[in-house]
Amino acid sequence: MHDDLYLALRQCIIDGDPEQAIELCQRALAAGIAALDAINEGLVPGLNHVGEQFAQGEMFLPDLVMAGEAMKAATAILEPAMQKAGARRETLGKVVLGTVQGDIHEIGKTLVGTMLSASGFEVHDLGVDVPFETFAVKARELNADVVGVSALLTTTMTGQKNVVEALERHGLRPRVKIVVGGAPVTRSWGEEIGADGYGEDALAAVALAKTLLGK
Amino acid sequence: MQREGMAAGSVQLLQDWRLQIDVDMVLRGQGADAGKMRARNARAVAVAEKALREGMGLLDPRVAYRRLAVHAVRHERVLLEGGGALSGPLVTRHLGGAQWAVVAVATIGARLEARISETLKEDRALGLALDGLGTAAVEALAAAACGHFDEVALREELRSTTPLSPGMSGWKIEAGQKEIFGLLDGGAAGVRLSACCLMTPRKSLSLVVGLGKEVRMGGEVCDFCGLRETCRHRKQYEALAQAAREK
Repeated sequence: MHDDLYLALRQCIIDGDPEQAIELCQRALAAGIAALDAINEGLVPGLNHVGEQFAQGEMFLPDLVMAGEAMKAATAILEPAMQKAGARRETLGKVVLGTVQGDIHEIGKTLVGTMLSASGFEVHDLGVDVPFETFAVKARELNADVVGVSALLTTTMTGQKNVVEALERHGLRPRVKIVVGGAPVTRSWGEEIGADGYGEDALAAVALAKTLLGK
Repeated sequence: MQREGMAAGSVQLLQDWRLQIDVDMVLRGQGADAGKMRARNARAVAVAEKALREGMGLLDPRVAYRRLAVHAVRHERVLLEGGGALSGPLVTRHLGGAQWAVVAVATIGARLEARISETLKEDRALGLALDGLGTAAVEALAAAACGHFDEVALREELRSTTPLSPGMSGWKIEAGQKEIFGLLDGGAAGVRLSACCLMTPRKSLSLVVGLGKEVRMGGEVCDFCGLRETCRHRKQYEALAQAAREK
C-alpha cells in the first residue's frame, strides 16, 4: 500500500540525497508508516543496492559515502518516532574503530565507520594514531562486540598485532572480535596475527562484522 | 612552466607550480570512474566541483630534489656521490645504467589536510572529495616534477627512467624512505618522516628517477606497485597511461 513511498526511500539512498531522505521520511511518518518499516522496507534495500553495485565496480566510494550520509539523515528523522512508539531498530553490535598508533590515515577508517553506522551498528570512532592499549581499554569500557583496526602502511600494520595482544591481555578474547583492514593488509596477515577477519573494503567490513556476530 | 636545469649535489627546492586539476581528476582521486560518475551521479560531481573550488587555494606544492652522480652498482646497492646509496633489486635494476640519480620529495603541504580532517566531521562526502583533490594534486605534482626531470634529461641528451617509489615491488618502504630522506639531508620541502616511515604532510610522494644514456625506460608505475594485485584503481591508471602514450 505504501510501495511507492518505499521505492522513493530506496531511491533517495541510492542517489545519496539527504534532503530528499529527510522529506520522504517526514512524509512516510505523516502517512502513518511505522518508522521501522520505513527503514527495513525502504532505506535498507537502497543501501543493499549500493553495496551490490559497489562490489560489481559500478558504484564507487563517493556513492557509498553519500548513501551513508543520506541514511544518517533519514534515521535521525525516524529514530525519535521509533522511540515514541516504543519500537527500536535492532543494533547489530557495538564497534570500536580506529587507525593504529603511528598511522594517521583517516579516510578508509572513516568510511568503514560510515557504512557500519548506516548498516545498524553502534560505532565508536577513536580517530587516528590510536595507542594499542586504548583499543582494549575502550572495548572493555563500552562492552564492544567488535574492534576494527585500520593501517595504511606495511610499517604500521604490525601495530594491528599489538592491538590483538592488548585485547588478549585485557581478557577480552575471544569474545570481542577483531577485524583488520587497510591497503597493505591481507587475509593471510589477519590470520597470522590472530585477528578474526580481514575487510577488503568498507562493505566487506560490514559483512564480516555481521558474520562474526551471527547477524 | 619553463625551469632551469638541475644543479648537481645540493638540495634544490622547486616552488610556484601551477597545477591543473579538473573535476574528473578529483573523482578519480576518490577511486571513482569519472565517466560513470558523470553519467549517473550529478550530486557527486557537484561535490567534486565544490571541493575543487574550496581546496585549490589550500595547495602549497613544493618539490625538493637532489641530483647525485651514480658511482657504481654493487650487490643490489646503487652507490652515489657523497657516500650515499639506494638499495634493493628494483632500484639497482633500473638505475644500474644511470649516470645520475634524482631523489625527490613532492608535497602539497599541510593546509588541505587540515581542512579535510575538519570537513570529515561535518560533511563526509565533501571531506572525501577534498581528499580526492589532494590525491590528484600530489600525483599531478609528482608527474610535473618528473616531466621537468625528463626535459632536463632531453636537453642533456640523456634518457630518464620510470619514477620509482619506496613500497613498490622490490623496494621496501623502510629502506627506501630512510635512504631518500637521508640523501635529502633534512631539506625535504618541509616533509617529515616518522619512525614508521610515514610522511607528513600525508599528501606527499617520494621518488627516484635515473638519468643516463643507457638507462632502461619502459614500464608504468603500476607495473611495479606493491598493491598491483589488489588495487581497485589499476584499470583506470593503466587506461590513463595508455591515453597519454597515444597522444
